[in-house]
Amino acid sequence: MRAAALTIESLSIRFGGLVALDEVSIDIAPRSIHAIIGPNGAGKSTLVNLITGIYAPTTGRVMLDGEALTGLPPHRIAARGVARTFQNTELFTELSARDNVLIGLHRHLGYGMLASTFRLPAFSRAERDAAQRAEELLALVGLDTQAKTMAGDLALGQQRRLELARALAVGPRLLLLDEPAAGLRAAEAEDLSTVLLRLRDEIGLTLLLIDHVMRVVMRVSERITVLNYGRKLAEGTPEEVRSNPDVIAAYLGGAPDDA
Amino acid sequence: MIVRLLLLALAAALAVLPFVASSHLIFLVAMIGSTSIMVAGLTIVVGFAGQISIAQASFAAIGAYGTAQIASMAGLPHWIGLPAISLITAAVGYLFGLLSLRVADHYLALATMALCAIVQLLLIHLEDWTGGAVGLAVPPLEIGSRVMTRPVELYAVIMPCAGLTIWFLHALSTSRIGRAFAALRMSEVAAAAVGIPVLHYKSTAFALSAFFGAFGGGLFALLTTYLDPAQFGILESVRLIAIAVIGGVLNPFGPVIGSAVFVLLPETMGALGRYMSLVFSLLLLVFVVVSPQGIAGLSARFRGLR
Repeated sequence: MRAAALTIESLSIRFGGLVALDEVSIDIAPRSIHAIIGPNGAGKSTLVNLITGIYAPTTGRVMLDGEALTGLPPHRIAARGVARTFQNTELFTELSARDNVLIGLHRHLGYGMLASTFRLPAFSRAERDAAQRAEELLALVGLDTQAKTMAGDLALGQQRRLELARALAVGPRLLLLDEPAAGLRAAEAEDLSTVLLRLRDEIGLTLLLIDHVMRVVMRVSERITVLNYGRKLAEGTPEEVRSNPDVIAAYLGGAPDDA
Repeated sequence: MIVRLLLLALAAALAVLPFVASSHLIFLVAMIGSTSIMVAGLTIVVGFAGQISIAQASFAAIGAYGTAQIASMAGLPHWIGLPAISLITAAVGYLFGLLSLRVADHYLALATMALCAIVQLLLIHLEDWTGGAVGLAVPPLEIGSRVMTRPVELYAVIMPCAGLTIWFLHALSTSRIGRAFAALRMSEVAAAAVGIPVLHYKSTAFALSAFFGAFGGGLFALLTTYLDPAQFGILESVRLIAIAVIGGVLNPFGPVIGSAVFVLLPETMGALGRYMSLVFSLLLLVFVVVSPQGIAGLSARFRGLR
């Protein structure tokens, strides 16, 4: 599937008196990894929720390959090829890892209630293909041995990887990752970086990565946008952002853990 | 394997029952069958899809009264009227489910309760259509020229329907639709994020619950031959929920297990029968606290699988 370009045009959202995002415009090139960084409360997750239709913007719009996403309900945005992970993981915790991925494949299973009730060939074929695809995706994120484990029983790092597999099951062209490296150990963060690069290079996805963990962001991103108090503070290559005095003052300098 | 053998044994027992059992026992088992079909609807909407519905008695009422009146007013045979009113009720259920766009959780539960109250009021006050507070006689089931009024004849009609309903629950829960229900039960946000149209599936769950409510209600009407609006109030909805929960709300056999307990237990209690509602209330409380997955979930608990 072809990677998509994302255009965010002067997007704003207000929650009561709070301007969570203020006239933010970002262009994301197809088949690239673009990171959004910024201190807590900068509006990063709000941006993801605006792109995926959970919130409606006060002004501005989001375009995917020139078509407006703004105004569509979340499930239609997913159908356009936008998948995401969640900051605090949002898995179907009482289902197996495998079932979580199968739910991600929902859209690709075409059969209806008649086919399932009478177990028609269309049902068996679709379920067989889905089971195989789920196995591949679990293997891709290194969870093939945990297929039957309940999602809620997985370790945090595994849960994040399962969410990634579920998001990939949707068949995205654009993948939004909300703090995928938060709480991961150094080695896990390293693995994550490798997986993200593979997703771009081998599957050809466009990735929008939101994170605090500089090690991952600096290693994989081609461009970085820095948000602060809902506004765009800086944008550029990792080197440019790293040496930007405003960024150092607002973010990197103030948070030694993240350096 | 063991489950299959048990199922075969159960099917064999149910097939032999009409030849050996008393007419009263056959009636009771048929009652278990029709009740379990009504409850199957709740298993879908409450268990699979995780929505609270206190409207099941009103769907059953529409099915029961509809079945009776399509036969006596339009003169259509029950084998047309019963499926027809069930499909109509399913459409009502779907439209009702669309309400969940505007109201969610506790408020949706209250809305279903209001629906139940309204339908019962209509049953009492639309006298020309429903017979009012006096009730309504149900024309008997006729197949060909044969009038089916004996319990054993209705048993032969109801039990295969109950069997198909259990199969439907099993097939549903292992399909993409059942998985979508499970997804919206656990996280609507995540369900929408993977492309599941949440509102459509909620409405579908309500449509299915309405369908089985009406179908089971129609069969119940044929079995009891007389309808009283007092049977279809909020308390009846709550009773059906209790049956669903005690049977096990995530298991295709939950409705049958729960219905069997609720139908057979009063029969075995003799003089204590008058304390039945107390017993059931306590049972419900115990299961909600100790085993939310009901009786069907107990075996899994003992095996330590869950």
